[in-house]
Formats: sequence, structure tokens, C-alpha cells
Amino acid sequence: MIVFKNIKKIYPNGTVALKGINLQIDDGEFVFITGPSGAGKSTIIHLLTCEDFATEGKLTVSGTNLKRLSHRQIPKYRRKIGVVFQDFRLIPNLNVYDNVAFAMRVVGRGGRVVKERVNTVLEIVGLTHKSSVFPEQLSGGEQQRVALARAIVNSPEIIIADEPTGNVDPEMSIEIMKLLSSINKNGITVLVVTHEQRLVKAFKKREIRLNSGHIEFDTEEESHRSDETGDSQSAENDNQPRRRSIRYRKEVSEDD
Amino acid sequence: MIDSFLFLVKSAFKSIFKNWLLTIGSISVLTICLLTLGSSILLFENVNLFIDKVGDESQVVIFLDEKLSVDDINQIHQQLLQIQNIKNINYESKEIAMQKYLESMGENAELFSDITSDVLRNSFIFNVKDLSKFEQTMFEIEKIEGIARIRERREVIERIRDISKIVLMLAIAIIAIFIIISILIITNTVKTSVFSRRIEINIMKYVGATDFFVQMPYFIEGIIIGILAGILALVFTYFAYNEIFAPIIKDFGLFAPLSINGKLFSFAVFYIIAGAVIGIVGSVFPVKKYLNV
Ligand SMILES: Nc1ncnc2c1ncn2[C@@H]1O[C@H](COP(=O)(O)OP(=O)(O)OP(=O)(O)O)[C@@H](O)[C@H]1O
Ligand SMILES: [Mg+2]
Repeated sequence: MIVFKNIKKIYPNGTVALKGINLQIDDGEFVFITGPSGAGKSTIIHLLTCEDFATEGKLTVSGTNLKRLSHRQIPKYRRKIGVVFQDFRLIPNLNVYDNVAFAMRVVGRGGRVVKERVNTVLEIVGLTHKSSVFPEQLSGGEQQRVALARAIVNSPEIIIADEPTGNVDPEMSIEIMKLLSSINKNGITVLVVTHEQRLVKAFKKREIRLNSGHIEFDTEEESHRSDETGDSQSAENDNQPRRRSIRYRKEVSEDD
Repeated sequence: MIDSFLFLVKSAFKSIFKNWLLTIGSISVLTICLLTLGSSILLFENVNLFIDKVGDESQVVIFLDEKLSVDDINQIHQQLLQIQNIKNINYESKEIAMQKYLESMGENAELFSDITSDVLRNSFIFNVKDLSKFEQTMFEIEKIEGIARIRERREVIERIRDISKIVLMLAIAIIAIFIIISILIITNTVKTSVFSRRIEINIMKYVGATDFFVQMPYFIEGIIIGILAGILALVFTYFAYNEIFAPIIKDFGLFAPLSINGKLFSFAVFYIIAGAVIGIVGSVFPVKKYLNV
């Protein structure tokens, strides 16, 4: 469970990026974070990955208060999170297989476990046949699927994707979202930052819209929004609107 | 564990070969730096050896006029005994001096076989007790009549010491400059390889690699550069010293230079440790900067 309690973020240059965010994301949820440029979406992501810390307020992830993490504890914490970027960030001189395996090797894993796990995740993203291809020979969509495979290879609890479809063509965007959605079905919490209302509409998931540092709306709070609008255009087969009660993971009791 | 270690070492070698030109540059500068360090040490060992050889700086020899009679010599001996600040007064006749000289020439002695002891003088040899009163004592001795020449090494030795102090200071300055240059060049080499791998480092941070794991390949790179430079410096030192420096000293016939053959192991250890330490210092800073993702 991710809990934002009155989170404020003021950058050293005085920019107020978040003006008191209160938010709860349960384990196993799929959440879109939307909003105009400069709304504070990436700032939220950076706080979750411990690249940066809140100026005020309390942010807890699975009961861990992120501000209390010591420098040495941060790597361990990050292993619970898989991150996907708009620009893919694949290592150009490593092939698809090694790009994914890299994420395991650098956290000290080796041997047969790596081989098995990497092959499994490449199968999930449908790129087994491209294992030995280098990133520059792949389309944007394929590159993002490799990045997705890398993000899940260490079995994280949460996947965070900042504009994952920003550099991917429209059909492929749907594919990426479907993949994220199926990853989510396996119990992994997924946070997706996106500009594309088209995708948000198609997937009927919780949407948190930010605007200049505060939450403009959160579909979770205005309950049944997706039921009432009755949007029939869904890319998913099971367009059952998700409810708060759906649980993929055992509830982690919040300590404090 | 072994997998991780191999992965790290492999990463280090990859980056060494990728930036081979810079690696060679780093190794060269570090080698020069270590050579300066080693040469200074050898120079000082030899200066000390030379000073030992030249003799005790408290020793003074007075050579006597040729015309003096035995009585006159005894007279001078008495006068010397009166002087408070000297000890171990010994008389050395010119015959004994000649014998000693021939002995010191060893094999070459026959070359001098037709020279008689008459070219030499009778002398008194003694030591000055308190060197701080050296000048006063010499002043008293100079008043004694019948002395042809006084030989004292104090001044010479002091000059050698002064010069070696200046050389030492210069050497330390040069070594310091070379160490700084080495560190800067290694830092730049590693910076280049860190830069060319910034995506890797960035990904490592995001997937939760420890700082240790991120830094390790560069650390190993620094150590490898250091060790290679250490080995090169050792080889250079060995040949330059044994083939160039030592023969020159021998030719001058001043003294037998220090032998380094028995000290090679110490030199190897010293060079490799010094090289590795400089390599590590140079490789740690640039990565630190990129660690704060
Ligand atoms: N490192 C920083 N230093 C100072 N100000 C920053 C920094 N990062 C972001 N900001 C500012 O904070 C605000 C929120 O930025 P953020 O990157 O979170 O926006 P965003 O919602 O991700 O926008 P976009 O959709 O363009 O990516 C903006 O006004 C931005 O200029
Ligand atoms: Mg952003």
C-alpha cells in the first residue's frame, strides 16, 4: 500500500511542485496519473523511487516511511519497484537478453536463475525471438517491451511507468498498456503516468488527475464514475470496472 | 557471489579496453610517477651510503710538516692532548698511510708500486667531541705550529646533506605534482568510462544495485591501472638502475652503489601498492558524482 499524507514538494529553486497530496493506492491496484505538463506527475514518481524526498508530509510504501530510509537501505527498497521510462533507457551495446539479465546481475544474482527468469519475462512480453537483437534494431514498442521485461525481472511489488507510451506509436501503446494490465493481474501494483486520455478511457482504471501540484480529481473518490459514463469502448475483454475491494496481494499491515 | 565477482571484473576489463587510449595514458603517467618515487628513494639510499663511506663527520686529520723531528711531533701530540673537545687521538706515519692506501686500492695496487711513502705526510687523526663547538676547536688547532694542512669532512658532509635536503624537497614536490597529475588523468579516464556508461549506472541505481556494486568496476579499473603501472615501473627501475646508474657510479670509483637485487620484492610491493592506491583514489571520485541519482 502506498500512502501519501499531506505531501508537499518545494524544489530548491522555490518551485512548489506538490501542494499537499493525500492519496492511498492499495496493493494490486492499477492507477493512471494524468494532468497537464508541470502538474507534478514526475515529481510524485521521483518521490516513490527515492530519487528525491518530500519537503513536508509522510510517504509510506508497504509500511516503510521513505524519509526514514538510510542511504544504504535505498537500494534494497528500490528492488521492490520496477521503473519504466519514456525514453526506454536500454543499454545500446547489450542485446535484448543481456539488457534484461543486467538488472538481475547488478543486484548480485547469477547463474541458471538469471537464464530461466529472463527467458520467462521475455516470453511474457513476447520477445523471445528477439533475444539476441540489439536495441537499435527494435521498434519503439519493442524497446519499451524490453524495458518492461527488465522492470519485472526482479519480481517487484510495484511497477512505475512515466509516460511509457510517449515514444511509441498508437497501436503499440495499446499493447504496452495491455501488458501492464496483465502484469497487474498477477498482483503487481501498477502506476502509469500518461497524457493520453484515449488510453485512460479505454482501460477504465482508477485515474488520479493532478493539476499544478494538487489532485484535481481521483475516480476512486467519485465512486462509480466509469459505471455511469458507461464507456463501451474498452480495449480489454473483461471491462469490469475495478473496485477498491479487489485484492491481488495480501494486505500489508501499516506500521507506524 | 562468484558470478557477481566475475561480472564486476568483466565490466572493468570491458571499460579498460573500450577506452584503451586513455588507459594507456593513465598507465604511462602513473608509471612515471612511480619511477620518480622509486628513483628518489634509491638516490637517497645512495647518498647515505656515500656519506657513510666518506666517513665520520667528527673526524679531523692534520697533516704535519715534512721537516718536523720526532720531538716536534711529540710536542704537537702534547698540545693536542691539551685541547678539551677532542678524543681518540692517533698518530699515523706516512708509511702506515701508504700501506692503508695500497690496501684500499685492492687489485690496482701494483699500479702504484713504484710510488714511495714520501709523497704522503705523517698525520694525527682524532674526533671532535662536541660538534657544536667545532669551529672554536678548529681555531685552537690551527694555532699549533708545524701543521701543513688540516682535512676535515664536516663542511663537505654538511654540504652534501644540504644538497640532498634540497634535492629531497624538490623530489617531494615533483612526486606530489606527479601524483596529482596521475590522479587527474585516471579520474578523467574513469570519468569518460562512467560517462559512456551513464545509462548503465542509472539503470543500476533504479533496479536497486548497491553503491558498492556500482562503484566496483571502476574501483577494479583503478586497481588494474595501478598494478600495471607498478609492474612497468619495477621493470624500468631494475634495468635503469642496474644498467645505467650503478655502472656510472662504479666508473667514478667513488663508492660501491647500493645493490637493488635483494630489494626487488620490496620495490614490487611498494610500487604495486602505491599504484593501486593512486588508481583507487582516481577512480572513486568520478563515480561518486553519478551515484546520487
Ligand atoms: N529538479 C527540479 N528543480 C526545480 N523545479 C523542478 C524540478 N523538477 C520539476 N520541477 C518543477 O516542478 C513542477 C512539476 O514538475 P514535474 O516534472 O513533476 O511535472 P510533470 O507533471 O511530470 O510534467 P510533464 O508532463 O511535462 O512531464 C514543474 O513546474 C517543474 O518545472
Ligand atoms: Mg513528467
